[in-house]
Amino acid sequence: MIRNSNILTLAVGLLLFFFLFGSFFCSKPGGLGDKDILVWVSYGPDEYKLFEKIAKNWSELKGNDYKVHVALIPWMGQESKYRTALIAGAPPDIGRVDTPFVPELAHNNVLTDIKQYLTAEETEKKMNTGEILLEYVKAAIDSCVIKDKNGVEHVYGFPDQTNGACLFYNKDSFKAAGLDPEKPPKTWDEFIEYAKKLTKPDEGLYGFGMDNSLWWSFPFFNTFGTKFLSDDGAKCLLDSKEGVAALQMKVDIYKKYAVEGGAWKSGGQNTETGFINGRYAMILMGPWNLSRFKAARVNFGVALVPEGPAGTSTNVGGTNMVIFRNERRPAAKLRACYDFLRYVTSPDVQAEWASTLRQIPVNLKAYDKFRIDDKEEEQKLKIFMEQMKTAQARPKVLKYAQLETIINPEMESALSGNITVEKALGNAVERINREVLAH
Amino acid sequence: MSNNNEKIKKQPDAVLVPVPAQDGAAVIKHEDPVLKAKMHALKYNRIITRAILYFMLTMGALVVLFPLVWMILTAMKQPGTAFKFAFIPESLSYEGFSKLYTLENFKKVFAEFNFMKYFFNSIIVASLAAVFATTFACMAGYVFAKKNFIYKDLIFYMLVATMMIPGMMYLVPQFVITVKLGWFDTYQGLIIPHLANIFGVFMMRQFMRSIPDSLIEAAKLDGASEWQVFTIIIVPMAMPIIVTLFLLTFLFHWSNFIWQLVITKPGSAILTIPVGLAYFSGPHGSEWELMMAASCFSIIPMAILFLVAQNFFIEGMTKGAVKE
Repeated sequence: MIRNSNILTLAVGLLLFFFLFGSFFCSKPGGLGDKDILVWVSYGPDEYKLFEKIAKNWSELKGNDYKVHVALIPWMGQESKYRTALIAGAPPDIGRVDTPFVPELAHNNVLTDIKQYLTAEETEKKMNTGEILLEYVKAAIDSCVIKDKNGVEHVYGFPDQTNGACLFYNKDSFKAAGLDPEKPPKTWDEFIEYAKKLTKPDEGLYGFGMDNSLWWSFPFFNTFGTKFLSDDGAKCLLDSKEGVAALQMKVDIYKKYAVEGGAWKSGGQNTETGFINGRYAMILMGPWNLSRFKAARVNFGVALVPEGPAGTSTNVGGTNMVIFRNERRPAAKLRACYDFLRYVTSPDVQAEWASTLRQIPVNLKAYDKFRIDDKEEEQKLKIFMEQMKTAQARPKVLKYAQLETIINPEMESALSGNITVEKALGNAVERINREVLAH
Repeated sequence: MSNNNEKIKKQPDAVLVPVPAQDGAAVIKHEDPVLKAKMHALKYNRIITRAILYFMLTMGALVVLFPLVWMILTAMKQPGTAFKFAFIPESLSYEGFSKLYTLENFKKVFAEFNFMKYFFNSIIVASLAAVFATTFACMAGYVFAKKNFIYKDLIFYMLVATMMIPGMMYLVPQFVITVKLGWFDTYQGLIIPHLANIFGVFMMRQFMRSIPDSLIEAAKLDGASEWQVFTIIIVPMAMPIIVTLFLLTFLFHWSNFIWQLVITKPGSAILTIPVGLAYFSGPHGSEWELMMAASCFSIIPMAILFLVAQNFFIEGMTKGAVKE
């Protein structure tokens, strides 16, 4: 009895102690002043180290009074992190965000439009209007430009990373099928011919492994010249004849030509695993897997996405650096935030970033300065850089994720043969107009 | 066994001699060939049945252990090769193994990712939260099970009804309140908002209702106070369900990612394991080898807790579901 009472007294005492003094055990918020710029990034370890060095270099530039503090947040859950920080009234000065998140932040009026600073810099440097934006990969900077209800364009930050898909092909599979491993397919027609030769279902080998999400379908839609939204952004145009032809191509690859190994099905072997293990001879993939495939000792090449009626094109991923609104922030500090972002995306810094981390520079002027020791890998990345010139930004809608939620099941039904391509796209467009664009 | 013996005795020609066996059971010795064949068949059947049983149990164990083994093997794989279906080295030499496997991932987890700090914070958060949440749920469960007051059932069912609201709905209001209390990026902020555990109260109440009122009345007749009734009668009898709730609450806080992410500052000194593990994920996949290496360590406290308390846990799970 006495022991039980003692235990409970101890527990209650601990609780009270914890209530009263708990905060002494943890870090205190704040500590940043008017001359400090807080940047939240969600990079991997190597990227983070380099970014810290870049921030330090900028902070030590001659005549610069400001100091950048870099804080790492996990990629997973970052949107919740930003939302709650905004609710608490304590967002960072600058944040790295996923491109589809920008329209939502802009809509909620929590971002700073940097247009006036662009104009000021262009005036200072005697540049033409809009010349600065032309320095960047078009599809990447497009994701920062958002129109308001009145059709006025605003520029919310700069892209800090960009990427898109190219065609990866297994050179050993090409050789085994009697194809020249240095001559990948250039058009969708050639692609089908190659895929037929590479497909041997009895041996579990397929010419192609295909993802089915909207993002992974943009290379098809874009190469067929599909326009996703009307100019005023009020209507979805995915069920146009170009859109139908693009999705029909996907369906034919699986059903008519039977050269796809079922990567798009739930439970199917995904494209990355299938490519590493030699099941799929060709896949669409981004640059982030170049080193992973190399480490897995896959003998592979990279080529532009096969040309359709509208030529070659691809999807666009990546992230942007945005400046969060803060009414109490002095104008000089805001300008410093802008200058820091310009520094991060300048040709020299981007060349260093891309060369060190094997990524695509966001600044076109960095393309010529891009050098890495491994010439084979450099060549592959240069194909990606070439591909990015014809890439097209994702549709800028408030809830991009909702587009995926609506379209993906319809495309799956079409691929399964349950409904026609026209019907699938018609259903998707009807729902998008009603549920996504009507608001 | 006794039924078999009776049947055997009915055989007219059998000469049966019961002989005590080493384990105490009676063994029948006889010379009858029919009976001998039957006994052989019986023995054979028993062996077959056991073999099937052990085979099924082995299969079940393999299915359960498979993710664990895969996690350990992936944790030891060379960077970038997590998805390569290669687990057996080409040769049984050091070179053969080192082509596939490495221990660098474990070293990296400790050297580059402050894993020990996350681990320590998770231990503090999960154990304190489990202790206090279980204590409060135990007290509340006792009140709802054994006390009478106005609108008792209505209040209880209203509380239980809140379990139907998805947890994510609480995120923003809880966050705002926690920040206003000045608990942003503190241990209090990590722990206190989740101490009111309605599921725990429900479990406790259901279990405590099965404790006879006569025990409480007898204790009161002997002069026990309310506190003594609770600590001497109720708590010891409810120990299986208390341990079960402790384990479930510990598990919840050990793996609660989203709250621990939003309530802490980036780079905070009180980051926990779920947030730490999230640093291994990027926009284009995860560093599976490192994530699995960290996971190998992160499961240790849970494994120890479940091993120590498994008997209580199983008892509690079954008892909590049964009403007197």
